[in-house]
Amino acid sequence: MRTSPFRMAILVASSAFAVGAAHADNFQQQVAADPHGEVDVSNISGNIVISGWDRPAVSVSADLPRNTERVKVTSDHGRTSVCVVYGRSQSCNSPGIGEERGSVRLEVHVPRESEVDVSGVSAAIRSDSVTGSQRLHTVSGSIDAQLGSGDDEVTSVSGTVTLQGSRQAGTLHVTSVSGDLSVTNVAGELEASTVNGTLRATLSAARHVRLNTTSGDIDLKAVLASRGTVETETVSGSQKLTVSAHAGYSYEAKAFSGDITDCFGQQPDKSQYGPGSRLDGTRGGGDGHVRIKSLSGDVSLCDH
Amino acid sequence: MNDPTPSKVDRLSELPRDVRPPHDGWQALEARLRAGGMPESESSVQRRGTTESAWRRRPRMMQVAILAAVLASAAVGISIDRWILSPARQTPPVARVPSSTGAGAGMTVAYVTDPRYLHEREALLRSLDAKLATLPPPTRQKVLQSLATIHQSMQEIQQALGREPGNALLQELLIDTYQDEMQVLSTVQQASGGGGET
Repeated sequence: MRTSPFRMAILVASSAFAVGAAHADNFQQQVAADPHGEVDVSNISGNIVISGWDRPAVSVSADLPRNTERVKVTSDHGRTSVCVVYGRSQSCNSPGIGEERGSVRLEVHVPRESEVDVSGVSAAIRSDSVTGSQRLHTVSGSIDAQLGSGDDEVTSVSGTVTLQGSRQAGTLHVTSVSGDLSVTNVAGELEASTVNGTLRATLSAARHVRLNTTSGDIDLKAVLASRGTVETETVSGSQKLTVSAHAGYSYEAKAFSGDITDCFGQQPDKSQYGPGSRLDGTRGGGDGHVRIKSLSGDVSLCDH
Repeated sequence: MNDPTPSKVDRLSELPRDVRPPHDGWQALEARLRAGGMPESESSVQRRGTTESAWRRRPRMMQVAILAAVLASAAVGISIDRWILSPARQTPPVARVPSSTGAGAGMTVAYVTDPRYLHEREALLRSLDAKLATLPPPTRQKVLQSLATIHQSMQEIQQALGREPGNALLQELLIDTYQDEMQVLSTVQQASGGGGET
């Protein structure tokens, strides 16, 4: 059988379309939104990318791997919700029994000052240019976010968390079970904990810092605000703290079996009756306070 | 007592009703204690109880209360682990802390526990397996590893506390480690609500 060039072209074009339809089914929708409203985004698997912009609207685009997934966008009383619906289900993020879940990439533009609440399971979360409060939660995906000056809360079970602040005072709570945490350019209050991940934080004008790991290491560089406090604790993880303050600070480091060193030329006091060492002192006017505790982790405290 | 030669006493009624010391040594002792910056003894407070006003005794009562609270807090952690982590052991929350000498005789400490905390932790532990099953396998593995790290840390702190039961740093670390465990259990609880295994 002979095939004409015209028929051949149609065949190739339809094949290409079929392949495209099987791998990506683009979705786009835009709804009006309150510039200071709330935006909820959820996705079980894939990626969630949030970007702040200056329009009073929420725009959603998605790569849907199959025609069994749909994106649901609803807006009501200043609250916009974006989620993925699977198969015949009408509910968000709830595939029916036996229905597979494909990996969906969601890109959402939100008004810059929105309050954002994002949750995923095996979904990586990325956010930038949002200045309102952010609540970001994922189980095994990574989180990479630029933060504003709001009250932010970030939770991950096993994914790595990388957060970049705006150097404006806010409140940040970060929790991970086993993921590494990295926080930079944050000011104000920071509470961060991980069990066996590494915790790295760089803060300017820190009012209250509380870092806690079980076996993970802590690496903190902080400039204390007036009467700022730092509290760090590990069981077996080592701690390296570089803390400075214009008005100085008092410090107190205690370790049961770990070594304590400092850059102040001071030797820790060893317990007379058993293991344990302690380092107390004051830098400058002693305005702030640093408190360090560990069971067996080594501790290092410097101010430069 | 003024007579240095002991006289024979045949009947109880022959004993004097009030035996007065040759001199009141308390004032000199009190002056020495104050000069040395040592706290007053309980007996001194009792001795002068009739002349000392109640407000002077309050700080001591507060100290006792604070000490009791610290001991109770430390005890919560130790007893919970032994009580809850071993469901077969339904003994009351009483644990034996080895003596610092290492001799066989132990020091029994009665513990105070917060029933609400115990109830919540027990519920979270009961549902842990089901919740873990909903997590992606690599994440499940990491959570179990983290919980194992926490339990290992608890054991290390408890062993150290066995050698130094009064160590405040160890008591704080133990309580904080129990809080870390609760945080992990709560995080797993919340995370598993999002969806099933991928």
